[in-house]
Amino acid sequence: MSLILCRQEPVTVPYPLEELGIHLYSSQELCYVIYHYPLLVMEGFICGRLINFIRDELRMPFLADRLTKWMENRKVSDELLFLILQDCAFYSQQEQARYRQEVTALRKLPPAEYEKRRGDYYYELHLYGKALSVYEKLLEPAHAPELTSELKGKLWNNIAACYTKLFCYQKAMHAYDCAWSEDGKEEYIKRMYFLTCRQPELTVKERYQEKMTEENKKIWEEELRENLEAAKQEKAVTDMRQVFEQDPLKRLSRATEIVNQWKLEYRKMI
Amino acid sequence: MEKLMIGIDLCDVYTQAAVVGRETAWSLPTVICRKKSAEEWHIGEDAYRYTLLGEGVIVDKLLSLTAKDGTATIQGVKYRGMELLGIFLEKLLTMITEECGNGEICQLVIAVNNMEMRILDGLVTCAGALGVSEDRLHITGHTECFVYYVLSQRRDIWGGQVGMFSLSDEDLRYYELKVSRNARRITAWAEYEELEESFSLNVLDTAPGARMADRILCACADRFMKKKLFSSVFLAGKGFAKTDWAPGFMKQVCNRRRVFAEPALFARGAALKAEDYLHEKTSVPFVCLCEGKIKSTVTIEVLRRGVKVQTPLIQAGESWYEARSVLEVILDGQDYVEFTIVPEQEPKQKRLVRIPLEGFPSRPDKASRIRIALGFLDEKTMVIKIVDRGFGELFPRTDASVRQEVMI
Repeated sequence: MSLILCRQEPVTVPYPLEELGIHLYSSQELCYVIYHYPLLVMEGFICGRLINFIRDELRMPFLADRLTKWMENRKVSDELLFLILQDCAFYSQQEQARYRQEVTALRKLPPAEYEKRRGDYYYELHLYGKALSVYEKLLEPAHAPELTSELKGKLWNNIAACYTKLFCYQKAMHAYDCAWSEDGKEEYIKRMYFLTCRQPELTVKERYQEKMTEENKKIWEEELRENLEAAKQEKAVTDMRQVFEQDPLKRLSRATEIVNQWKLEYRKMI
Repeated sequence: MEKLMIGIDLCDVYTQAAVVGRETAWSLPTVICRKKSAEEWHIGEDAYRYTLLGEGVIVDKLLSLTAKDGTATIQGVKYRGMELLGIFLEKLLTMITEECGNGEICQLVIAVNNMEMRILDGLVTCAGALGVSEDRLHITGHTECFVYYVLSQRRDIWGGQVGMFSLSDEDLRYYELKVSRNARRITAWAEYEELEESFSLNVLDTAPGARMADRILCACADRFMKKKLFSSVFLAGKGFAKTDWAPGFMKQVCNRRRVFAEPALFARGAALKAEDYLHEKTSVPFVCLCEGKIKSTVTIEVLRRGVKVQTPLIQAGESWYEARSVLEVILDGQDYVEFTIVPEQEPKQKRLVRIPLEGFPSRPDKASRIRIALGFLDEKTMVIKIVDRGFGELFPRTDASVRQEVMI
């Protein structure tokens, strides 16, 4: 337990971190992002623009020079991330050692598994567009030898989940179709059925119709109903209900705010 | 243009002023008069003159008027005490600068014997309106001016104990200064006692009155100086402009002691302090602990590049009115802030003050920046304000804050 003295950094032009949809205003925030989002910063994070930010805005010319020199003499590596953490000393030696272990363990994963983890990581951060590009790249023929049918099925399933989150139900349906073709899990058929419930215009292929028996549909509908009931108790939904209980003027202003917020969030997702 | 470092001793009855590098000191009654025929203002003896001629309306006790936020109505116009004090100061500074060849006021130190918040705020406002910015204006107490004046003299004058009697129409005070040295630094301790035996200076106009005043001072000198060794004794205030009315007292204090009489001592001490602000390194390298000064050091333990260090926020010896400190820290698993208060006089009696951060948002470790601001309401009351600053756009700031008053 302690209080960490803040370095005076009068940043005038913050560093945009598009992946998280935020700007960085201090070396502490930079360290926090490196430490808490390893998979986000392990590829292509350290670049000339970031080094300029460190030099000019954070006023850490020695660190910037060391990073530049490293990049000139050797290729970009995780050592650069460790160097930033070490130089800023925002995290303790033990924390830095733990971070080093985590990054090393991630690097030791098979390439396909590592990439899938990155995709999953983007998904968790609601960066569905980025997650899609990682999954789709993995499914390119160049990676085919590394992928088992099960892994391919998971990747298509994840692609479908991303499209669903982006409200692209037709594409999601196609992705579930591909997933089923890879490992034939019945779960995918259930999800296709849920998609048709959300958007009744969607059609499922003939081969899945026979799997969607009346008995199955009854079970799935029950599950859907339970989920919808649970969703009604979610804070976002109750908040929204409260907004619509307010007088018309307040309701309109708050609704505008919410819609603008959703627009921002959606732009970040794609 | 000459740069002027001005010291003003602003009292309810009399005001004295001195400028560094000039022998002469100004002394005038703290009164202001507005002419009946026009909005024309006069101060000091001129004010009395116009009033006696029946041409003006006089207002006195300007500091008391400001302290109680009072008003005075002249020719049907109601003036606030602070307004009148502002006009008085303007006229006084104009008089000084004109006599000094229209020099520029570089530093201004005003000494008052009553450091009430309302008076201090009023003086800052008045000076601001006169174009003297806050960085060029400093307000201090009489005791500190005494310390500055004495410590600017030769070392043998203040090597041991120094005593001082100050006699004016308002009060009779006895001051004492001791300088102590240790391995770390030199500390100047000064304090005063207001004597109940004070008398009006009008009594000195008659022989019996002067004799009585002499006897009073002799008794005081006997009480405070008997069996004590002094490096020097000072006599300050308008009452000691002449000393021939007090032969008994002079004989007593001058006995095997060096005695210096300086009626405008507080104004000169203030001017010396004004000069000191111009130097990057103080010419008076002491911690001065007296009236108006903070007697304790306040520190906070922080982690600087992984090493725990005590960072001073307030240093003993700072003027409470000017003492402010702001620090930004990041919380690492801590939901409180702890301050260490070390009294300069008794360092072993240090105490810890813990302020819980109630109502602050719960965030992951190292993701909450807080701003700690310290200030003072008076010499002994410190105000701590802690505000949530968020953590960039990762965790936006909230309105959470804590304010606590701590007696030190």
